[in-house]
Amino acid sequence: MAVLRPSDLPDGEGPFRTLRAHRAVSSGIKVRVRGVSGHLVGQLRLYNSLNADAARASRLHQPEMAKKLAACAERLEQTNAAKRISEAIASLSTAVPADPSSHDAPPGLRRYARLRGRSSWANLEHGSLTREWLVQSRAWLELAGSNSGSLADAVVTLGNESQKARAKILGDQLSVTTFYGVVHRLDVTAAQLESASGEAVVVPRPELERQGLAMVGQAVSLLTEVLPGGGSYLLPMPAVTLEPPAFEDVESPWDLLDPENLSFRGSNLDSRDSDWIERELARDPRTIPVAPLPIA
Amino acid sequence: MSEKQLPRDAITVRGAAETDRVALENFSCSSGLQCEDEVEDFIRTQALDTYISGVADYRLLLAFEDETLAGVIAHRIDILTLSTGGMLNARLIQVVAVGEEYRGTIFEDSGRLSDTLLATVIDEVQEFAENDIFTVIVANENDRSLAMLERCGSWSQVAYDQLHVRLTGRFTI
Repeated sequence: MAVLRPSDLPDGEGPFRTLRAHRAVSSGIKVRVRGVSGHLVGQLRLYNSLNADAARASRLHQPEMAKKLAACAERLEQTNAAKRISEAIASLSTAVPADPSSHDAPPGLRRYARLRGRSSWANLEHGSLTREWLVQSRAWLELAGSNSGSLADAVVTLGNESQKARAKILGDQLSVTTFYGVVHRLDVTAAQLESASGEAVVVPRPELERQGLAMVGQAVSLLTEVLPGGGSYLLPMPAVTLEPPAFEDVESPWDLLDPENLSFRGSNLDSRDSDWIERELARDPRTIPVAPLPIA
Repeated sequence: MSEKQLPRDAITVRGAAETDRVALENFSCSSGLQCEDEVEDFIRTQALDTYISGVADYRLLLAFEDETLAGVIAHRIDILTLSTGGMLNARLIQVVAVGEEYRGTIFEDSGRLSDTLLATVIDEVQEFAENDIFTVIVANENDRSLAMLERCGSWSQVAYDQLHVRLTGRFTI
């Protein structure tokens, strides 16, 4: 819906029903979500990503293209890979409490609920947030843990098939680009995404927070579209990294001393971190909103 | 989690001493997450010895309600080496821990115990630090700590390693 109406707030089911009436959206895959006690938390529908392209085509008054994309999405939703994913979600969700803030909730869900809770229009009941999180591939892979191999394969297969179909139908349309990266840095107002090749993009932090993506290490698919009337819009969407990023060896946070020098270890900052510090030093420090206790 | 309410003057904060060893060895602050277990383990087994050893600038502060240890704070110097080769003194806040039975405690007139302990660190550091840059290393899964830090101020966050994020901020009271 964000792709259909980039500048609008979500506004009921009407636009979606219109897309359906014009066969510009697929049926989706219904998944029943049951919580830890076996009770039904709700149900969700998974839609292939080609539906977003179909919504865009609808917006750009290209109904035939929208129908082609939706038909491809429908076909991909019937594949074995899609079935594997929907069955995995139904199974994995039984380990997820409906309350995302409960202690038993997976860390990824707790974090998602905390981040989404800051959204300007967030007034979502707990089950709704849990279902939202379960739609994302990072949730499936986190829940599957060490058994995520075949699930990851299904995700990659579907992703590749969707991309092939997209390229075939859309051809060389250049108004949309997608940047795949990981949140490298979060500042007060901005987030920096880094791709596997080291390319960096800065986006407003609230854009990530609205989607529950504002956390370091989060994989993001950043869709950028140049609008026909001028201007552009960004739509960050959750993505998943199948290979964790490599880190240089760093000391454990609890390992205080350099044993040779008996001095405290320091921190080496890269150029972007250094630049950030230099900019911060030019500003006033921020005031903590809480009063301290006196120290005896 | 308790929703204990306390008057502000019910909690006193002071530097640790050898006589606090038993209280520290028995301090519980973990809800079962591995990252919280690590904090608890450090407090129980290493924090006091590190402080007493006198290794440069390490501070260990304890918060008591009467004779009961309610919270632990630890901080030490952090030298930041910039990409240009320059260096800055910052302060690494290593621990802000609230005891299990004090989790969720709020003061009757102002804020949570956890947030107040963080403010107490910042206030103490400002007494003698060259500047007001603070760093914290937090486990990615430690939502409780991340939420507390973000309640109290705006930080820059960057990955420290696969399991942790480093937060940096400039603060005053």
